[in-house]
Amino acid sequence: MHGRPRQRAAGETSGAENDKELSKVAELQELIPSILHNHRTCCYTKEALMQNAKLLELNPEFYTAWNFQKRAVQHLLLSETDEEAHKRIVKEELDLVYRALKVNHKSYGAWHHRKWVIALGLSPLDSEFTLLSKVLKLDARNFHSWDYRRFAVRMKGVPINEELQFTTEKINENFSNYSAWHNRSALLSELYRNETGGKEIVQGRLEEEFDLVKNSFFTDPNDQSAWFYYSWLLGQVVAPVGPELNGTWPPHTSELVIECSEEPTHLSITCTCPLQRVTSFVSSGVPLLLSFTEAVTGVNNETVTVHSEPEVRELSKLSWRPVGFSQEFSQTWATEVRFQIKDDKSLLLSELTNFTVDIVVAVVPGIVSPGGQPMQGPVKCSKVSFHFGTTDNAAKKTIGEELMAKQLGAIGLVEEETSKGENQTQIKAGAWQVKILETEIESILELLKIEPDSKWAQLTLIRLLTARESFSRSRSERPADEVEKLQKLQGLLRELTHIDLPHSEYYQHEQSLLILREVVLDLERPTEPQHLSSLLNLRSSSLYTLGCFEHFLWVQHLDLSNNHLRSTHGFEALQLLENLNISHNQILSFTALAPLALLPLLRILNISFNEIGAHPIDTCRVLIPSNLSNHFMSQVLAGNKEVNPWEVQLVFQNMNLTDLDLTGNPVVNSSKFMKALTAVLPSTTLHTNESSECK
Amino acid sequence: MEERIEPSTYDVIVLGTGLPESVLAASIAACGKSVLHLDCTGFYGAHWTSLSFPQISSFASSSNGHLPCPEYFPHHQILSPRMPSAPDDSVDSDGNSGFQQLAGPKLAFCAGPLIDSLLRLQAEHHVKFTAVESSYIWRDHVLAAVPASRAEIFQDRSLSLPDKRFLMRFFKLVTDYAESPNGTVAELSTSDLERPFVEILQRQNLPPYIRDIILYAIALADQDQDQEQASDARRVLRAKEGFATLALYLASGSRFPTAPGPFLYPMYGQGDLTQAFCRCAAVCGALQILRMQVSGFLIDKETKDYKGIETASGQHLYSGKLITGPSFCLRSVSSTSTEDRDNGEETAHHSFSESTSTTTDSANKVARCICITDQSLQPGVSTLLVIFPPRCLHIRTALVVRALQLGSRSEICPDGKYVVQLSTVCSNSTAGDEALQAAVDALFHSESGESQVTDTNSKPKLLWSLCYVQTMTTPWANWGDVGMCCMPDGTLDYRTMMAQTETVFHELFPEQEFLPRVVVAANNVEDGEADDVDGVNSV
Repeated sequence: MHGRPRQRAAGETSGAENDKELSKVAELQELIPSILHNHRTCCYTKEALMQNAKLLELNPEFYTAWNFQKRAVQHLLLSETDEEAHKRIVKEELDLVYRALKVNHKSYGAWHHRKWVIALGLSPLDSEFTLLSKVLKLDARNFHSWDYRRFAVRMKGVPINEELQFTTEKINENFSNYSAWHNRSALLSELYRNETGGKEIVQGRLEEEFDLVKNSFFTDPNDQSAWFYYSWLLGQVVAPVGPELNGTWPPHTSELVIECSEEPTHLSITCTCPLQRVTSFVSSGVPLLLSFTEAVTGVNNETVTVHSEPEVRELSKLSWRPVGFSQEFSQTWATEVRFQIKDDKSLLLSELTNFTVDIVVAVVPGIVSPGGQPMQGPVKCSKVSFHFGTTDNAAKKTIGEELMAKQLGAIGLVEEETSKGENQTQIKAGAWQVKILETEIESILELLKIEPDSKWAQLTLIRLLTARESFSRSRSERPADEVEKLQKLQGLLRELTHIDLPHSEYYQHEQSLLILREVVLDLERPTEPQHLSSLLNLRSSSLYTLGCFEHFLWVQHLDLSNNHLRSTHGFEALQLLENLNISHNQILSFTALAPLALLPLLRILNISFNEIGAHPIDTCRVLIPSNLSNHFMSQVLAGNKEVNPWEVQLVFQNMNLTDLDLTGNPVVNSSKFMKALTAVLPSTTLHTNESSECK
Repeated sequence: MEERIEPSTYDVIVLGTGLPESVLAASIAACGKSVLHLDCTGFYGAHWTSLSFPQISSFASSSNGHLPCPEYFPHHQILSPRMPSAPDDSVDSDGNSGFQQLAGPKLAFCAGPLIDSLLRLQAEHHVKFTAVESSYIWRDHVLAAVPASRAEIFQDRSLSLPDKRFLMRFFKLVTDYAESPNGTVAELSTSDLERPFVEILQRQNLPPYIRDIILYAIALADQDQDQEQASDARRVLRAKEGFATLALYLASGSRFPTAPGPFLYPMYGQGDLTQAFCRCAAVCGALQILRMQVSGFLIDKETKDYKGIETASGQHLYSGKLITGPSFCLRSVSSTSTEDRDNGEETAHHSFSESTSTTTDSANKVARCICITDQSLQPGVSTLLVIFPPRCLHIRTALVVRALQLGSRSEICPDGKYVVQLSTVCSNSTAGDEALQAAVDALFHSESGESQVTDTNSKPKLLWSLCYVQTMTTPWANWGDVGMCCMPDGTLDYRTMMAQTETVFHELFPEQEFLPRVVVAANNVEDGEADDVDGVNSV
């Protein structure tokens, strides 16, 4: 039934039907004014109610009439004192809703009104279940009915297990019923929340569910409802329960050398970290970055503590801000440690030539995801050493070599000692999850043996393998093995692109993320000191998207040329980025570059040979948070000519670019755009054709 | 003493009220021909009739004793009257003892020709059906549900996950085949369709137990399909036939929302089915007379062609064509003593099929058994079908046995009792009897001794049973304007019967449409019980 366009009523409507329709319209037109009048004048006479009922039977979608009905019921209930009379009023009301539902069983207004009436508590609930079984027999997937059923179940207090049995029956009748599967997931979630019998019971239930849903997609692998439910189940097994910290800058055990720069108000910062990379830049303060597995809020002085040894006052009152368009949630949070620079260019704190800092992200209530999930996992911290005023390059090198000599295995974040016990139980839980994943992988492989072209099976296999990989990933594993696994997954995704062409872009995105994980693995391998660099070269890497930002926080120079990027979504995490090359990609509009406006250090931007200006429709515009665009739109409406075209203003007005290469984009031929660009970026060198680029 | 029949000339005279004869009478009458429909007995149905319990008991106690019309059942030989006595409580409080039929088990496919013909003739109001709730196959000493729909495959926990896929994929192939305009799908070549069905199943990765389900429980093969034992090529089901039955089975499952499975059983037994067609014939103007003995046929002296019949009372009735049931047979015309008449006719005396040739097929017998039990084979299910594939009961028993259980819902037995009809197609009576006994022993607990009362085995108790063997005959060679109808055969459904009936019809009336769609104005329907839509009485 899914994926089929709605069929129009067969043929042209006959003359008789047309007349009937017209007379209905005439009737409605006659009724509406008097009902609106009654509504205004609070007239709840018998006649008024009859008229309203007639209207609702003609058109249950007329919401004002339902409101009138509610007021009338309230009025009638107040005017009567007899309980029997109350029951009669409610009964009549339910009959009216029933008649309206017969006209349209998908009327929001009618279902809502019924809930309202039932919530008065004056009618038996059993009859509601009779009604529901009737409606669900006619249309087993009607989500209005399912929603109403959940309401009735809550009202009546039906045990969850009983309701689960009901969904089982419906699924047995026809398993292509996502409404039933969905209700099942809602019920099970509730069951788990209330389950006090321990993890094993919940795990046992989940295993039963896996069994049930497998029966469904082995019978018919083309039915998507089972796969969606399976995906939900898988999420119950492997998804982290809450956000986690997955990256910081400066990285753990890195050494920072801070000195005065040529610019009077800026510091020159050099960071040497155990990945044998040296990042060096000039900024007004030392940025500190935290990256989480999902967007979070509540990152502040209380949830993130910075201990310094010896104690540095400036570090105790940092103010963290979300990086991104949202003022509340972000995956990346940033702050700056500002040191006063004296007139003699020595730092205020220069007497503290050495101090170490522990940034501790604590699992205290406070850091939560948009879904309200608190941060999980052990307390994590990052140790950073600060060095001041050393200008000697040799000294920098020494620090780097020292670090390498340490052969630091722990390049990730360290977990605090106190959480070790907790950690042990987590590993145990992981064993069950790995067991489930192994079983499921085996099942899906069995299905694929029979149905090699099933896109759902293939996609699920990839998800399972990815999940298993992230679970069983251990440092002891040889990187070569990991690379092999990643490449195998990419191969599967490539196959999927052929099987399921309409969704090929999704698969290409997934493939890009795997390529990036390979890059990350490569970066984690020890390299020769001469390769130390803050450049990340991803040229011609078949990327459709960029991810793994938590691993790239250190990047200053990023070459993404000759890929297939359409947007710069998520780039705001790269707070140290100075030089970005995304030439020869598929950027369609300036709005696709909006995240770059949040990069304070970006100076050189190469967006040559993209497709900016080639397409009349800007699909990225919707991705821009509305508060910003509204702000700009209001300026546009206020007649501010400067901001026209507004997207130029939006993206570039706060950038401090020295170079912008636009060569090869059709937009360079629009004098309107170019004029706006020059106005917004007065001190930027614009490259608009190849000859100027040569120059 | 008998009244004379007026008029004396008809387009067609039909002798016998068996199901094929009744279908033909209805169809011919619906074409606007005049029809005289006679039966020598006082009841409708001939071989297809439903007998009351006393009637069947007397049939059992003596094969030619006290039957309403013993001549009707010369082909039936009693094998094992295991009936100590009729169960005391076989008659319910209303004196309703239910009805048994000798030609069981037979079931109609919801989307099959029988139901179609009822709908075309608007005869669906004359008969009610009850749906067979579920089908089972005998596997490893228990009843295993036959998974024959998407929902059933999903719910079946005895199938492995890959087998579910193979089976469902095979069903998809079947529906694709059925829906393709010219009966071809990429996976099946034209020559494939002529191959044995079992070969195609092997090619589809279907494991043996699923092949058994498809062959015997869904494609309804009547005989062993094992290739190594294929001595008789005729019993081998061709792929084309297998696909056709499967497609019909699947289409039947979803035809009527009130019928959960593919099969329907006529309430009160098959006797009601023949009566429904007789009523149709009557509505279209056919004249029906019961208890009308026929003593001979009138034959043209010169051409030896059929002219008419002579009733027992000596009246001569003339018709262009004659249709007879399988019980009627002419003695060889040449050897008959004839009486010369002035009008150039001679009378050939008929006999009850003494000289009909038995079929040349080696499996020309159907062993049948009727059992009465005290509880259902499957708790909570009243009407059900059980298939015993070859060798599932005994390694040497290569016969297919079918059992149909009917409860009080079908109105053929009182509340709390169940009738189980069994049948198997066989080449000799002993083998057939053995196979039926094995099935009966597997299904029921037959000892009635007190010591067995505490038996934890909850098999139904066998209260009464009757086994008999019916020897199949094929109608003798065509004789001009005379059409011969067939006997109830060993198949489960009515397709062979309907096809043979259609052939008879077209031989006699090549120009006419078989079962023309009848439009009867509602007030012309004499029967006022037209309450159930589509003839399906919901369960």
